[in-house]
Amino acid sequence: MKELYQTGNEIAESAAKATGTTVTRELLGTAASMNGNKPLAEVMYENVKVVGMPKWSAGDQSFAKAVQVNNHLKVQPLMDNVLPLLSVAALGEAAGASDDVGDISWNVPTAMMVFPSNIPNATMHNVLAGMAMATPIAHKGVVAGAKVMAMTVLDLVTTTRAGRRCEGLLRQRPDQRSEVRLHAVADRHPPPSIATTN
Amino acid sequence: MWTPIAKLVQQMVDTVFSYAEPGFQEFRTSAYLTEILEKNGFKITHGIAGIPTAWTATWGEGGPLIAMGSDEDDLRGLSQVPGLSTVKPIVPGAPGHGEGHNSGVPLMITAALAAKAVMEKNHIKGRLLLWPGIAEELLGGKAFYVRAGVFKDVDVCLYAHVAPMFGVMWGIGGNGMVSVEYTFHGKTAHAAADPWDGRSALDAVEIMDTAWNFRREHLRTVATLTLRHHQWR
Repeated sequence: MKELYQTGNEIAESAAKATGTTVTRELLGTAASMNGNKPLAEVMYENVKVVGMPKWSAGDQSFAKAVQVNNHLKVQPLMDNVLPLLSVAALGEAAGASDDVGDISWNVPTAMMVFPSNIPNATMHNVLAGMAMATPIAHKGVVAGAKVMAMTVLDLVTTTRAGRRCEGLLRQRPDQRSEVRLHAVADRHPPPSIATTN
Repeated sequence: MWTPIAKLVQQMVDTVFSYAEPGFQEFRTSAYLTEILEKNGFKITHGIAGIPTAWTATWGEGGPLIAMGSDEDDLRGLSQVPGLSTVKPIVPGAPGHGEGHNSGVPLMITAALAAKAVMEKNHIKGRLLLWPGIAEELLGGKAFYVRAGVFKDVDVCLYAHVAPMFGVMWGIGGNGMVSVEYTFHGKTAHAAADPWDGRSALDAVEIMDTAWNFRREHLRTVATLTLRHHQWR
């Protein structure tokens, strides 16, 4: 990422030199990749398995199918099984993430959960991904996700088996205290309060 | 416990959807969500990390400090009537939650209220720190939170993002990004009388665009460049 940033700067400066113009730059934002903590993820995942998927109604499934059919998306029912515990590295670029939680995850042991409040194959960052976001599909997914989060918090503050596993995690704070990436890229504080990207 | 909470979930998710505020403009969203937390005993700090719409909500004493966060910004031009399976904006051209960020902070608030109730009833030590992902789509929040020390004393962070699926991820991966604005400055001159005295910023933009495109072939396969022209001076 730092290398790309430097490449951009060099190209901009070269373009300015070639045309006799000048160039200024402003770093608007940065996002590190994800560094998810496995022991913490395992604790959280146990709760995902306990809570399980929401109970979708016929109306939920019918709406999901209508969104997919009407917008030429692959037809796939709302999911009825939780995913296996996932390695971000194994997902490759499919893991996506812009600044979802990357910068924080390099500084604090972090677990990232995805919760089922949207329709399969609805394109994200798109109007299609907004169609279900104020419907019972979204509400049910949030309730399920909130249960997992509440249970994980309680695991972390109690002396259950999961709580004992987390004690070492809390004490040690493994190698996620590095701030090298942030210091290398983010060069301004506070960030520029703009919203011109569209 | 979950029946009344489910009603609160519906209210929060739908309300934030209706506010539909893009990055750094999440004023009504932040005011609404922090009001709920404040009414439930959380201490609110506004404007963290120098970002006007950012906030933290803290509660508890002793024990580990657990951060809980998710994003709350939306995207420009994605206004959409909810519950409709065809494209129809509520307000044409207006922002909308086409990434589902209206759901994450309500989830975290719901979880925090439930955990708090159990901890209070059973006298369990522990502290919660809720935070919103401000301007996530602009890469505008979290790196600056870290630099400002928001997570300095935090023991663990729990994060959630909307998806069609239910699961947990660990390990190193995903996309790192940097967002930079380059502004070229030229020199005005009469195009017929003395063009030799002028310098064109647009020329520089076009050369940069061309150079980026030639450079793409020689980038690592996981690296991508996106160039958007949005102003010339």
